[in-house]
Amino acid sequence: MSSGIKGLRTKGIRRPFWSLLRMQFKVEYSPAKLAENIGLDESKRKYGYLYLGLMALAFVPFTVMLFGLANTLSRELISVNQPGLAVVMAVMAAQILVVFFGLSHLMSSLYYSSDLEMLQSFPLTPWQIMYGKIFVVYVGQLVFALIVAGPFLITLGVNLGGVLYWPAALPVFLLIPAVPLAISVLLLVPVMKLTSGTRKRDLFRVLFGLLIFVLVMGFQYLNTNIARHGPEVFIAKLMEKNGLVSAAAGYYPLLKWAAWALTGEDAGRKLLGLFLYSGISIGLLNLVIAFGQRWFLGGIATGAPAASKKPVSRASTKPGAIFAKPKMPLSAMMLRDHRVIVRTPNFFLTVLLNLLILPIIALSLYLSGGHELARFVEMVLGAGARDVVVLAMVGIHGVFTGINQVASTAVSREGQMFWFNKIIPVSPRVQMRAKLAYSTLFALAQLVILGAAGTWLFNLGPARFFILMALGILVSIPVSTICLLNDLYRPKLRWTDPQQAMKSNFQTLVASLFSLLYLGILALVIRGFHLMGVSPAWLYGISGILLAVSSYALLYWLDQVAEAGYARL
Amino acid sequence: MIRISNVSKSYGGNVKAVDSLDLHVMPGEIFGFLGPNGAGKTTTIKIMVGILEPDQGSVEVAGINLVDKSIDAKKQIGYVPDEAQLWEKLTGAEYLDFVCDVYGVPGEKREPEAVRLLETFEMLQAVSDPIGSYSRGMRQKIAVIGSLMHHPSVWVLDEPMVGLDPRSSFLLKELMRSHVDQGGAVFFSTHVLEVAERLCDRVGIIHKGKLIAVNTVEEMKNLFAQEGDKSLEEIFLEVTGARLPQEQLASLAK
Repeated sequence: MSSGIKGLRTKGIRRPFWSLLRMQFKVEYSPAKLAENIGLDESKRKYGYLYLGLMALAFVPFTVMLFGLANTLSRELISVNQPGLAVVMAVMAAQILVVFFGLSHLMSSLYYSSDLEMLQSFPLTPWQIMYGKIFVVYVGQLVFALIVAGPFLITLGVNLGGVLYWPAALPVFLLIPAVPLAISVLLLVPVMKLTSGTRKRDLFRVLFGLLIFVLVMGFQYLNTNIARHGPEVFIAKLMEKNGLVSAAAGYYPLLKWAAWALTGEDAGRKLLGLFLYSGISIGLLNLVIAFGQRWFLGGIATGAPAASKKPVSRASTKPGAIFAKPKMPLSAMMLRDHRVIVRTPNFFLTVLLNLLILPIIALSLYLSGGHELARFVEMVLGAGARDVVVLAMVGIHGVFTGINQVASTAVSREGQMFWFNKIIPVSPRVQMRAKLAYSTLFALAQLVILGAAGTWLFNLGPARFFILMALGILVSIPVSTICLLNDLYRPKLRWTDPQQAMKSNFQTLVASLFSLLYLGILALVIRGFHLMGVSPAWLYGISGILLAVSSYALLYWLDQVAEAGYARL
Repeated sequence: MIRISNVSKSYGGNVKAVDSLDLHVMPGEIFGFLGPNGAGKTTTIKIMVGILEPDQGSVEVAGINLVDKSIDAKKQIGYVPDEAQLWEKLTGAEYLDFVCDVYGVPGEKREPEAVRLLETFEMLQAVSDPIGSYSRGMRQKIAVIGSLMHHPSVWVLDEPMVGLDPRSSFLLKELMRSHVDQGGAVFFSTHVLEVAERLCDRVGIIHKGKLIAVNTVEEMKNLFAQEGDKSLEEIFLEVTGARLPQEQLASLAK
């Protein structure tokens, strides 16, 4: 195919669906797009894959550790005649991850992407548009599935040693996202359709996202809680080959079929497992898309999705309520940040999940024997256990602050509207402080939840709760500042889909790595004092001083670079 | 060529963006669609090109019902949205190639047609660059070129002149005239009333979702002639009630 204009076909014709698929892949996964997500500037964008490869090297230690863990686990499970359990765990973990990431990716791709109106005006069927979009999401989710399930499936295959394992492992892996995405589409499309005409559709959609999260976690917990069968049943199942597979798969037979396909006792069982797993996965996804496409078209065509503008309301508004209270620039900017977050469903759902994850973990811990946790920790760590817990929780809060996406994407969330920040008569220093104040307030909300959960689980008492709160606030400031600094140096301002601003980029990942480095150094220093026999009261004091001093230094740094950072953008 | 029959569309059940709209655009006609902001112009256009479903009524394009045979109907339309959201990671040529694929333009016909339009709009040099690097005007031009690659019989253009330089704007108007002279139809919305006055065979004014006036510019002028010779702008301001009382103007000027 030679052409005077590069990129323009000169012979024959490509089918519209393939052309759509090709174009969507180019837009989503081209080197330039990936490089933009990493935060590279224009000149380096053609080397996107190279830079991504270099970034992946940073995860080699983590991957090696995961492979080591998976290897040990698969060996142990093979030795107790339960190899299928490794498959169940790998597929289950990957599928849960696909539900969470896939749901927001689907929501973003099907309903909040800026190209939908353009695509709808083309002579393409809703079926073609929906398949094209879902296929792109599917491939993205396969990457997550590979990270989680890959080490377990690979080490199991190596340890089992059979050649026939691999031809079956490939479809088992490739079909991991099918059912979670089918379930997500099944839930998402009707909800989007039903809420499309309502005034509070964004709120409904956020609540729906939360509900899915809670339901999936709840189902996963109840479904896989083998302990509920009692110790006798557990031991009896342990005695038979893959006896625990059915118990672990619970009411979700797909996991059992995946285990049969790879570790079934004979060829017949393996084929049956593969047939059922593949058939149900492919069938369900196609069935859902076939039914969903009608609703999908309706959901978009009946009322403006978030990407398109809301129609102008002809109802009269009373400006008095809005303009009644003049605000200082700092609080005005904090309020604007807050409004943008709570009124952008994608942002709002992300921050709500950040708040919800801790209570869910605490509840799961409690339900799986957490009431014994305080006694257990005291047994292991001795008399000063509770003080160690407090300091550890301060560290955990620091980690959560680093990964909560509020500070690490504060500049990026401004997007194409960043120009406004440059023309207003408010100094970049004040603007960055407003972002820091808002991020710290959000971290405070997380801290209260963490503190309450920790006090409840570990029986910390009111005094330690207040120490935890004080140190928690102190750790929120430097960590949020690190996240802000990272985002100020290389923000992702060019986005059309909010998903790209808060989640589909590497801002939080990089910022959390820097935060971890900072927290790691602090932890080493405190641990050093602890080993020297310094009393808990002094440890709290030293921690407070270290946090306050580093906060001051980081704030000073932020103040110094804010002006230059704004000028560069 | 375009027949809109009793079309209504509301958002959230209470805001009626388009209210019982009836309109017929004939072959060989440039139809200008005017209205204040939020009047329902873009909603009407989105219904006409199949982006939005009307709550009631029907749309026919070149005799094909847009709901029953949407793919066939869409192939008759060349559409330029008010804000062309194009794929920034594609080059101009890749975008045109994609558009040709979905509209079924054979490979052999693509390059000659693309070169003709790209040269017309002075975009040939930039066609291999990513759309993300284009200025607003260049994006508008590539959107216009993309909409014409498959030789549609009906052009639906939402504010097509916005962002275009005077030369490209003039050329687009020439192309519109040439298209209708060959039996096609052009439906376009604009806020530039001078353009509508000079270019359109007929104009329609939509206000609060209702089509309140449809006629040739001359006929409209005749209708309002009893109060003196009025421009289309003056007629527009009058029928949409956009004139402010003198006292209010004076207070705003303070």
